[in-house]
Amino acid sequence: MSGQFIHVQNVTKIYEGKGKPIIALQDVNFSVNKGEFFTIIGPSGCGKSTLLNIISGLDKPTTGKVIIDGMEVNGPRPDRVAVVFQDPALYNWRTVLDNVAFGLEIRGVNKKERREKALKYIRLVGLSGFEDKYPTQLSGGMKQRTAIARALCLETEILLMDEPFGALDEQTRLLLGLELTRIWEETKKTIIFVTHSLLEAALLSDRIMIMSARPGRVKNILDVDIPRPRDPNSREINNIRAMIWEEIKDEAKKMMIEGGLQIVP
Amino acid sequence: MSHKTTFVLQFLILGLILTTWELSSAYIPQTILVPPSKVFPLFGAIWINTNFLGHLYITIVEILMSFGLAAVSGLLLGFVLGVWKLLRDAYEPILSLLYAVPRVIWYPILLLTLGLDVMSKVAFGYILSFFPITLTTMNAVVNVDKVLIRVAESMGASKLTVFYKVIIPASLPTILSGLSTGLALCVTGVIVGEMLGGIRGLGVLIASAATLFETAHYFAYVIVVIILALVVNYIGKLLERLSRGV
Repeated sequence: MSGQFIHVQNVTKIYEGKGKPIIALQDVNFSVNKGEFFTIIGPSGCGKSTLLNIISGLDKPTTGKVIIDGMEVNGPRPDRVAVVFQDPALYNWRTVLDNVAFGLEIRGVNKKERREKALKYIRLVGLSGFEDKYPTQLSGGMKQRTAIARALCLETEILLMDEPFGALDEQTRLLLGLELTRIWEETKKTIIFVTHSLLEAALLSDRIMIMSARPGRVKNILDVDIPRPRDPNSREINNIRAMIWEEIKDEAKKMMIEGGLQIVP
Repeated sequence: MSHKTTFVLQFLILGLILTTWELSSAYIPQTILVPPSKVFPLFGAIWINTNFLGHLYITIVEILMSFGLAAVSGLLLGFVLGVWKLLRDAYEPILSLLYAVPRVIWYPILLLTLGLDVMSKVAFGYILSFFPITLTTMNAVVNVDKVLIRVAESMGASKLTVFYKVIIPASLPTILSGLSTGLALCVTGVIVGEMLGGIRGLGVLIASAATLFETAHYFAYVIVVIILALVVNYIGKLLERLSRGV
């Protein structure tokens, strides 16, 4: 269960633009334990998504490296890491079933096995009965459930989630978050979850990493020792939220001022 | 209900046009305007003439040939330009410039090089439809949502797999609408080509009927072209609907 599993070492990412180069991430260091629900939170534009893309191997760091289970990341590793993006990014020309089975199709798994596994995960995310529907026939929440089932269907140890509920309304978002912790407990995966919602972070995580404004750096890592299932209205959750807020509010202000906004004290 | 109302309204508009046509032709010499009551019987009669069917056949063959060539080459070039950024950056300004030039100016040279018969018409229809098919295909490929590609990459898809499992199906609806525009332009190209100078085909019949003041025949042929255009339009719509259903 425990033991450090994912290591992010001295990761720096610089984007060479037309103007001055933008330092998206600077000397980011942290480790994630096996089976942990690890959340990254930070103000918009702090490089959270960039960091996740580097861990998934879709992006390369300018310097530094990511090591997963003793091996340096050099590109996507679909056998070990699955990714859920903020945008459900479903294929509209495929049914829910064929969307969920897409990763196995790429892997070359035969049709029967693909179908069985896809149906299993469609059930797990609560979409049974919708397997033959097309994405355009689904609500936003159902689309994101499909995207989660698609990632789960790869049966990887690690699940990276980039603000997966960011585009949903608050109720759907909380319910899906709580369901996610249930799925996480059932599947015993290691999850790295990116969000900008304080409540979501407090409610779901084992540990929360707070990032600073650009250039993105690790500001602090908080332990959340609250037993599950957690109650969104409990005092403990509120305390954690307050702690994150203390850490993050100056960073959020910095990003707003950088964006040209004036803060009235 | 509203669908029905639209239909009735369309019928009324058509009726109004025909009535105006019929009534106004009483005051205009018949060398210029022939009333529908004289055109429609003729429209029935022209089909008996095997010569006419031969002309129609040639026109259809020319349309299909030019569309076939334009579709194959336009799709190929469009896909290559869509995925290959370097070539696209170099080639697109040239393509857009050529697209902006009125393409009818190339027709004389087509007549000179390919002769008065079928090939110059095929080439002209091709020139008209090749550019929009290429540009639509290229833009459809370029505009495929990058996240859709990332998802496949994160699942370990190779470039080739991404191309045929994501890029082609994602861009298909736009490509098909480009093809249906291309088909309509082939019809225009072939018929205009025949009218400007040719030996056989519907356009030749139209041009000669007009020059000889056989106005009733002229209108009858025009109706044939309208029907042809409607059929082509319907095929295009069918293609687009098909792709959206998938």
